[in-house]
Amino acid sequence: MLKLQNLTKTFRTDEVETTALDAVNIDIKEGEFVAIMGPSGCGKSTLLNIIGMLDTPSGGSYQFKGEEISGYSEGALADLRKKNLGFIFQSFNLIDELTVFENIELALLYHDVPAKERRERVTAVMEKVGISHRAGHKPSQLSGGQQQRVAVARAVVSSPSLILADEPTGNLDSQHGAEVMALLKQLNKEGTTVVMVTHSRTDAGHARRVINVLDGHVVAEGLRPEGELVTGSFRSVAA
Amino acid sequence: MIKNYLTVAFRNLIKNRLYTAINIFGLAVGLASCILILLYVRHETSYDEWFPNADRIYQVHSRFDIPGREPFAAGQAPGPTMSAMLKDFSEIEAAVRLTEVRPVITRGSDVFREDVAFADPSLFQVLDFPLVSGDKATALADVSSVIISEAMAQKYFGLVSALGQTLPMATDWGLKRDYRVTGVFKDLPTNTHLDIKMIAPINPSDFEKRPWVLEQWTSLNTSLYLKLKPGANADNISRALPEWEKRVIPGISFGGKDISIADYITIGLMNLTDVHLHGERSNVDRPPGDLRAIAAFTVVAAMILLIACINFTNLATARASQRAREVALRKVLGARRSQLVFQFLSESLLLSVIAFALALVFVYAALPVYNTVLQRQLGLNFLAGDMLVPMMAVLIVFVGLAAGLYPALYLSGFRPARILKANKSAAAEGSGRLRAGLVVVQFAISIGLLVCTTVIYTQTVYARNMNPGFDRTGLLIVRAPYGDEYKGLRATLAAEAAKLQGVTAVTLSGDLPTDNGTNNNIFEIPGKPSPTPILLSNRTVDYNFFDAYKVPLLAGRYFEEGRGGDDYTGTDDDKVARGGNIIINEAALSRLGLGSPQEAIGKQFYQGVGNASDGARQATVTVVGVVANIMYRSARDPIEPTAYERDEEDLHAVSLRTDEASGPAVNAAMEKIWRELAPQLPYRSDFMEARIAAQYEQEEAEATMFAAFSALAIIIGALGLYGLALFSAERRTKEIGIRKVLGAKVKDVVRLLVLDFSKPVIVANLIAWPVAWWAMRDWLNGFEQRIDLNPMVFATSGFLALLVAWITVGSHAFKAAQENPIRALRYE
Repeated sequence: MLKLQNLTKTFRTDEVETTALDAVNIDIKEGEFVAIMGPSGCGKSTLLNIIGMLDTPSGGSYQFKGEEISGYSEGALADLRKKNLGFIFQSFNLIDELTVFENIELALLYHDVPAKERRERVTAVMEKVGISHRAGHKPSQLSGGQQQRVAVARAVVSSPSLILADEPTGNLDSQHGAEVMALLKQLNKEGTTVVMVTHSRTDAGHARRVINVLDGHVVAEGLRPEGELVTGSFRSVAA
Repeated sequence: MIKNYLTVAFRNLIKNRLYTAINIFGLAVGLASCILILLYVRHETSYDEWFPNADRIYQVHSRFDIPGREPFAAGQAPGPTMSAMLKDFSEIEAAVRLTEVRPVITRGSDVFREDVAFADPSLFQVLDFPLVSGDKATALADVSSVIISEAMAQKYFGLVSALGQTLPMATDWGLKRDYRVTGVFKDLPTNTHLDIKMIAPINPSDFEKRPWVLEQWTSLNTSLYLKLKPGANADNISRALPEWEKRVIPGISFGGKDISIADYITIGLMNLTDVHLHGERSNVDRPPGDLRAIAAFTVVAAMILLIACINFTNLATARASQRAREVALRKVLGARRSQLVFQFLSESLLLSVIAFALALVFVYAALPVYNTVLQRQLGLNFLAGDMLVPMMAVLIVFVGLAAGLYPALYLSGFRPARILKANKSAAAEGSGRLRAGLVVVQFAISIGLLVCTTVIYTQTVYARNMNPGFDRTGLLIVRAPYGDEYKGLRATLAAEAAKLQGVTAVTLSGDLPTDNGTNNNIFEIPGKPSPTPILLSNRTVDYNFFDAYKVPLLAGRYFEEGRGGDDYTGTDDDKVARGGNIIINEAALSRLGLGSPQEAIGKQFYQGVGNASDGARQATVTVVGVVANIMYRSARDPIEPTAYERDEEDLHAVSLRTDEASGPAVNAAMEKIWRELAPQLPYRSDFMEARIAAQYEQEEAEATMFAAFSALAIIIGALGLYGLALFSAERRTKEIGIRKVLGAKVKDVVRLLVLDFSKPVIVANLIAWPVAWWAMRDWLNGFEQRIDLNPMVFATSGFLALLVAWITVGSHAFKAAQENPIRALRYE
């Protein structure tokens, strides 16, 4: 699905140059569920943003579905993003002025989907995440967990091949967090690739592969067998 | 997708009600001002376009450039020009002359004096305006036919059909005829330079007693209009005219010398549609358009719109952080930047459309007052097909784009990654600097307009109230007719007037101050024949005129009854034989080569007598007095060097000096006397104060309009600042909290915020002052009599703007400063 080679990202202010990512190599296959872990400021969000094409790398190569996209224009990236990616954020990022239905529908509006089909697809996905009864409400009238379910619905309604989740349970209590994780796992089972940034070991436990990032480097990658609950450390690979 | 944009837009507008109200109200007021000004500009630039074939119709104008005097130009041509041009220029299809006559019209027991345009019967071949009844082909065929406007038909015949009715007319120079109404025309619209209510045919033999009207090359009394053949080029005629003038215009002799008139006169063509704005005055037209006023108002309209658009831009970028998340999210969902730009532009267009609807309401509400001030009949007629609809559409789109473009580009440029992660505001400092810049622009415009308004108003008031050189209070003017037969009437009227209670002086004169006409005469210094003739304005006054008008004597004496030579009345032969005495004004001294008033007394000059084309002769005149200058025309015009003489023939205006309280009573008493003495003539009177005020009517209307729109500009600007200050106070809640925790008092915080908003106003002053100074100096130079540019006006305007800023910002600052800092700090 995607392949990062020698990827670097540096931020420049007037005097200081900070390296956020340094020679990162990651290969993610279709159908994987990958968790990216690491302490605050380690570069994991930068990594996710680059994978999500919201940011461009300073150097190295980013191949998405075999295509080298590191030099793409903003417009071309927007098109690629639209076709392939779905996003879920820690802070939900729903539009306050729109209802639940309209928020989810928004993702389809940029896909030129006809109105009738839009309605069907939104209805179906609301059903799937269990938010149908709240279709006409505004985000401010929902609980955090409900809001995040709307966000998940919005991320998947356009049937992306890759879902990127940035701390999806970070603003939720454990019960609601578990619900959202279950949803993600379900989607992954149905074939969608999921890449998730998280602090939570519990959440990471749902992933098939965990990538540890520290100071801009990938320091460890771990695989675990299907179904096995991960509690401790992972098998080290050469960093 | 559009629906989604509109949904978000509407819900955003409703959520931020105050912001929406400021924006829509500001834009609406701006648009309404703009529409009102555009209607005026459109009206002023559409003059005479409605005449069929207007592009082929030309007015002939003339200019006399006589060395040593102000050039004299008029939208008129000497009477013989028409036939001479028709003979020599095959490009001309038809031509018509119009000359104004003011006969007395009798209707039953009522008498009126009416402006009647006498026109050649070819009128409709050139100026083809519609007749409501009557036949254009024959309407002016008979010498006793007259066509009248609907308003005149209503005035004279009421509900009875005017066609075939009789209007007996009598001119002061002895033309008496019963005219028969052969046609009625629609009242001419306000957008024509022609001011015509009645038209009678020119019958050359009627003008035999006044040969200068139709026959003399040295006199301008007729307006001449030409219609060219299709495809004919007016430039060809214009180019040929100088040669043609030399060939066709005959010479005259003056003081034994042959003078070629063609050397002094220049004839030219001007398209009919240009006459209102660019033409010279004639005697059948309405007050001319003021090109400078039109330019000034167009600029003001643009400025007001700019201020309103800046408000939108400023408030939109100030609030950018509120929209940042939506932008980022839409980008994440795959929106291209162009789609976001489109979304925000459609939002500002929506706002522009709403504002426009509100603006139309304002326009309709304001139109009656507006029309009264401007004395026009402006209206919004969307069905008239005169570009109004496309113009409005352009205006809406322009405002939508101008106001929304920067915010759209700014908002759509947000990088989603940072915003979505932190859920934080992303308002960059760059837009803050831009906002400060735009606020400077707004205030510079406001201060500039404030300065201009003050200067224009002060000058207008000054011009209207300035001392014209004589005592203007309580002067009542009664007009008596010219001519020998009314000599007795004039004398009796003056004698009777003197007996009335409240009248302290009565005098007679020819022209009066505020009469626009001038009669120039050529003077010569004995023993010093000048290569160029010396011209002085010649005015006739009775013995006691200067006494009654309270004009100071600088040297010598006033005219005195019974003193030899003071009475200049007589035939041309008499005048040449015996000469006479004159009084000159101060301005005439230098033109006659005199140093001081005292030096002038007893000096003799040769003065032209009779009409120039008769082979003018000279009379010897002696200066017996020098008086101070008095203003005959408006403050825009220079004081004319003048020679006064006492010629009884010309004394037809009676001036009564009354003590102020009894003015109206004296006027009523005079009317009663008039009705007994001359029931066949209409009584005409007015007060000098009103006549002077009327001279400045147009300027006052323009000053009022300018002041009103300037005020609106400032209000819109202040509204924007209010909104901006509100957001700024909100944004700085945390900063204010920290400052208070660190020990700042309420007044410190208020001072901080107020000073912050004072900086752009101070910078704006530095920009506005020189521009306004330059513009106003230029404008004031159009006046001969003008005020000085007082620095206080600039300082006051600047301070006023500062005050507006302080008041607008102060309330927010005070509120923000009073907040409990704990709340403020927990809040972020």
